[in-house]
Amino acid sequence: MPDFSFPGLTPLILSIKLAGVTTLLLIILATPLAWWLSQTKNSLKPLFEAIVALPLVLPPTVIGFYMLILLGPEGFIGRSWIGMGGDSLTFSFSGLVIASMIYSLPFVVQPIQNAFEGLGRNALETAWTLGARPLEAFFSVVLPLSTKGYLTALVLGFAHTLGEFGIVLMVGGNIPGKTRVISIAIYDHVEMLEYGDAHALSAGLLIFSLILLLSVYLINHRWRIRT
Amino acid sequence: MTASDITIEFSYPGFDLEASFPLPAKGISGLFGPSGAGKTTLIRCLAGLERPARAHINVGGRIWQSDDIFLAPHERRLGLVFQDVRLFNHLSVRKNLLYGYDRTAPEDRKIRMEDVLNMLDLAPLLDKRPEKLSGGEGQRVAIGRALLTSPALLLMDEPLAALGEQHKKDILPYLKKLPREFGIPLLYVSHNFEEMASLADYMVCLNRGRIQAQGNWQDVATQLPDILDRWAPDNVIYGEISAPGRFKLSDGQVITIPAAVTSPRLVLNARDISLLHSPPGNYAGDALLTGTIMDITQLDRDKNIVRISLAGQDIHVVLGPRGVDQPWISVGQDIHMMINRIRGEVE
Repeated sequence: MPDFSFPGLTPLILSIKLAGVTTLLLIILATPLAWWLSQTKNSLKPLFEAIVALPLVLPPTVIGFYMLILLGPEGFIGRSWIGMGGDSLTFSFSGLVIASMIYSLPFVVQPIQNAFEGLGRNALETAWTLGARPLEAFFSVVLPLSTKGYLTALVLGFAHTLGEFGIVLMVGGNIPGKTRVISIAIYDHVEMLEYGDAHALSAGLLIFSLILLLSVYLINHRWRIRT
Repeated sequence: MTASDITIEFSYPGFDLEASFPLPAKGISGLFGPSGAGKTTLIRCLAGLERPARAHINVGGRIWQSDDIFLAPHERRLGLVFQDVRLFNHLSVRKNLLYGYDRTAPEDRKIRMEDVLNMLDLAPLLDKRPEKLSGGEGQRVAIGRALLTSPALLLMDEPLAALGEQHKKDILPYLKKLPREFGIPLLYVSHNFEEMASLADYMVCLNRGRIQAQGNWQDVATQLPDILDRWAPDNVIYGEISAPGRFKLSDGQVITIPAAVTSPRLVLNARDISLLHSPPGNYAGDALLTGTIMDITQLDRDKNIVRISLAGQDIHVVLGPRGVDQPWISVGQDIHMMINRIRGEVE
């Protein structure tokens, strides 16, 4: 294997892959959850909202610790996963995705929920009276009118997962090419006083994040002008 | 087309709706009542947006609700036009118009796009985005959108309430010819007396959740003084709370209100407004307003309804015969009003 003197490339790609998969799955999962939270009159709503918000306040090590136990071969999720024919979840990419989804849940659910609540029921009811079935009304009216919330959820979920450290270390360990994401690679380099490599990786992540955010805000800005 | 029969019983804490009335199969029917009469609840029940405990809704021979039937809103052939227009801002005018049309079964599409565009003069607006439309244009698009579902009943909930005087005048002629042009019965809901008088052939009067009178316009109109006697029309005026206890109208006039009122909507009952030729010499109160008399409708020998434009909004005042005999009560005259009692809506 030729050495491309880009030692950080593999961790960077892994980080982007992890953040991408996590955000994508979260958006799909968060949509019904956010919708339910925005519409329910259940008196337990504050409890569910508090649970969704928990990862905001808990130290990543606490989440990581519980995830390690749950995802382990003896844990509830890990055992079911292996029972369904999967490999061990701890110290694997799949395990990282599951843990990241918990970690980034509020960052994706809350903006979408806010968008739904801000929209109210008027647009939905109007669509119904025009003959749209409930699900059809949701996809043709509620979703397009909530794009800003989704964009925010996308950016926050992606960025937050990209920057995670504690949970990855607890659940994924530090296996090159498998669970060694960029934040851990940077930490390693600093530990070993390889400041040059740490600089390269950090600057790479910084520039990548800036480009990502910039393009999102540009798109958002153009939307606002158009609509 | 067959006439409709509607019976709805719906209760929620503090309010009881119990209404039963037939609707003619054609022409314009008016559902008239003061704010708080239950008009909106009745509309929501008709549209299937609320599920009343007991109801029998038969529209043109189709049962929308009975003891063992409840059609969801999208299954009811009802065209609904809201007071606040509610166009879809992410779609162009054309796509707004087609939203309901595309979701109507091809065999039910009796109204053609071309005819709606012609009648409501919508062609020039097709490629615009809803937020670029004026209030009147937006409401015309909303009416067209509802029409294009070829509904069995077209229901309009105070469609002119949020529009300015000029836009109201622009839209009224369209409304008048709608039922004739398309053969669809129109149920027009309003608390505005003049709108009703100029539009409705048939009237249903609702107050506090009960039907007080119903029948052809002429029959109900003779009972109207009696009805209005029991509930002089409520005027709803819009402004802003410039400071606690100060309700500011768009022309800068201020009404002193209880500090607890925080809603930009004020309800002034027609009976709580007195007209004055000139302000009392030592009068210093804030409740004195200036407006212009727009028209005077005689209900019967003893009662007249005076429509006054206050900061561009219509309010109605009930006057006895002696009041109208005053030379200073005439159309076009500027007039002072004293507000004796205020019912604001506390949010």
